[in-house]
Amino acid sequence: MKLVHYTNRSLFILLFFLMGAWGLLFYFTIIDEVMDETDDTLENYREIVVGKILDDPEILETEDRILHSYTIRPLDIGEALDYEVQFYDSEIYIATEDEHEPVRVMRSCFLAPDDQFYELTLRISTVERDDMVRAIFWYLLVLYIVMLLCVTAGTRVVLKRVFVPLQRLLTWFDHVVPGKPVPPLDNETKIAEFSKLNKAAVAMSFRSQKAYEEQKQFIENASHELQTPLAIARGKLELLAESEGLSEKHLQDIDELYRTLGRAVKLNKSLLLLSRIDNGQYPDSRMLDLGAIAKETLCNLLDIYESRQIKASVEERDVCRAEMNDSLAHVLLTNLLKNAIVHNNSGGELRLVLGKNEMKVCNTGVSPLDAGKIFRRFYRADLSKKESTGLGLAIAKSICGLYGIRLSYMYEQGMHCFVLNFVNSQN
Amino acid sequence: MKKILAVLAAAVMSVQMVSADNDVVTTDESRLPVAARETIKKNFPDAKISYVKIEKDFFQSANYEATLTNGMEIDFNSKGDWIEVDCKRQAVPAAFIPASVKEYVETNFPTALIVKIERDRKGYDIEMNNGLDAEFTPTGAFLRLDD
Amino acid sequence: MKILVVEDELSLQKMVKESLEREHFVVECASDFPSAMAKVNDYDYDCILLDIMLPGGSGLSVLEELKRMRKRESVIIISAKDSLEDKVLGLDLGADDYLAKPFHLAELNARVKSLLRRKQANGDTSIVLGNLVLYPDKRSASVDGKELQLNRKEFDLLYYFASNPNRLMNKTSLAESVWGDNIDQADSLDFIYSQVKNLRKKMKQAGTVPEVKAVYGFGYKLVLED
Repeated sequence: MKLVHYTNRSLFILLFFLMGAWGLLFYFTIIDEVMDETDDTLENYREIVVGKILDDPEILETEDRILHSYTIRPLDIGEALDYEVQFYDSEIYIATEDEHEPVRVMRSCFLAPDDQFYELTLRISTVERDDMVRAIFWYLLVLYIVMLLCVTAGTRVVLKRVFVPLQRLLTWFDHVVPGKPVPPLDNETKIAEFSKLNKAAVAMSFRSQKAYEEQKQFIENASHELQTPLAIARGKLELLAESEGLSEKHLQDIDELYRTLGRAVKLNKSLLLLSRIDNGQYPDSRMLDLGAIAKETLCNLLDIYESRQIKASVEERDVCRAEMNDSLAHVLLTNLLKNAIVHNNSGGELRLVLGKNEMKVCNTGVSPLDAGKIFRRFYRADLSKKESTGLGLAIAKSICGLYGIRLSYMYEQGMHCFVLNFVNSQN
Repeated sequence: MKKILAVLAAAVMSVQMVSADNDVVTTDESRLPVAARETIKKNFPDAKISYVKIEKDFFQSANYEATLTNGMEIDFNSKGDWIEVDCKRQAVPAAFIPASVKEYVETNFPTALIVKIERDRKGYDIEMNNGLDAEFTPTGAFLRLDD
Repeated sequence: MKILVVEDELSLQKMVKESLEREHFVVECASDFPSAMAKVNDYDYDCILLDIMLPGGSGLSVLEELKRMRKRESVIIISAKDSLEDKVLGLDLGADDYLAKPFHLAELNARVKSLLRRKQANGDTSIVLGNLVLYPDKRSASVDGKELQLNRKEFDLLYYFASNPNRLMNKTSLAESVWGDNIDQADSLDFIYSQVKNLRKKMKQAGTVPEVKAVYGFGYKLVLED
């Protein structure tokens, strides 16, 4: 969820209840006040009417027959003693209008000068009052909705404006790629926090960029520095092997050393290759017939690994071409094919399928490999294969990454399949 | 959600309570303080109480308004001390009127009757049947005259 | 034959010198830029092995100096920096070959000899070993004037042996030189045995004087019978 939407939604929920609560409170207070006003009016009337009666007891015999605003009824002493004043809503029938009208009624009791208790019933029409209550209700409801909408829309606009620098910063982050120069950040803002964030982001990017460069440089330098000592050690061994009077045991030991040293040389070369690919040090590319290269490489490899007795088949559906650096194409195809031979069962099958924009290398395998791990550097699915550097597929992946080639792994029909897809690399 | 509704309900109820100030009107004179009943019996021996109105506001002590069958009205505070006597165009019994007030009225308006007297912390306020109002200090010293 | 080794790493320099001397070359050494320049100015060599990274200057400047003096020495650049730009730049400046560290000594021998042959013999680059003659340009060989039928890999093997006669060669170095980067330390080098076996069979049938001998546990040696 976006920050703007999240904040806006939180504010909306808060305001919905807060303003709703205030609105209800206000409504009930007003209504209560209006009701109270009616009762107060009735009390005033009562005082006036009773005052008149005490002044002029003859009124006791009268009754308001027009508006039915009052009636007087004598009470016996028992009724009068625990008489409680009452207010209630009722209706009266107006004959002339032929309709019922809502009224508020007050009943009270008093002692007249003739020592008789009377009950005075007063009525007052509440048509106006009910109209007013309804009006108040609707005004408040409309006010509530309009205010809620205005505040929500307002905060939305404000929030969007406020978060513009953040949005720009995030877009900028998408363009920060390790190994490429840090792009300029044009994000002028008056907001101190965002301004600080901008500065921190740029500084951080430059720092990580520098660290990345230094690390790359370090790997390359370290690999280079190793070349000379390795050359010396290996050359010395070659010369030593030619010395007089060496026993077979000595020669075997020297051979062992020679091979071990050879592994170090390979590993070092692979690391150097990876670091160069990552540094983009293979610039010149041209259109290559990858099918031809793959077939030639496969021939060579089958020669070398003839003891494994791999049954290889090539299926050519179309000419497979791609634009890339010549030596990298060789490295890529060699690594994939060698992988398919070395990690094959003895006497297993190898299938090379060439298509337009696609190349598929499949080999017999027992169970699926972990697709998330096989392209990692120094990952070995089979730890018993000590001779493999664990860099072959990682190098293949790096080369593919350089040219936008999609390299994917799948397990189908008892075979490990590595698929190269060149569609994106053609532009 | 439930919490919010509960708070809302409590707020509405408290408002209802504050405004629940309807006066009590009763014919039961025993609801008057004893001192008030005695004041009435002593000063209006022939009169009967038509009804008593008890005004009780939320933050205040009660006020009593006794209306007699002859139309006169005497107000009392919660302790039963009188605070207003309104005799509706008849003379207020002399017991309610301080001597200096009585003397002032007799000196200045020999023919006038005091029909209403009020008292509070600020002093006395009388109304005469000639339509004039007069104010006095708590000790009974004359302050001013109004129409 | 005089060879100049320009290399700042003294043990490497010594090692290369020793190896080349076994091939009966006269070897002189320089270990920094000024001494390399001095030697190039003062003497003539048949071949120069040139390291690019030198104390006091770049090997490429030595190359430029040679070009300026119109000297016709063969130059092999030996660099730890196995990068394409260096290679292209070096070859553009007139170097004849480029060898990246770490290299096999046998490989170095083969390259040096190939260059010297081309330079000396004015077109005739054949290698003669007893009754066996190799024509590297045509990738063919003959025994007593009769053509020896070899496939591509067999020829490469033989050429490599012929470049290092009487030298003991490790099978790994052999495999790497002939099969290049496709070879991994990975599996057994059994395929070398069968390839060499085939070659030996063909040589025996043709009756060549030089003979490829196996040295148990280590590799092979092309022996010229005296």
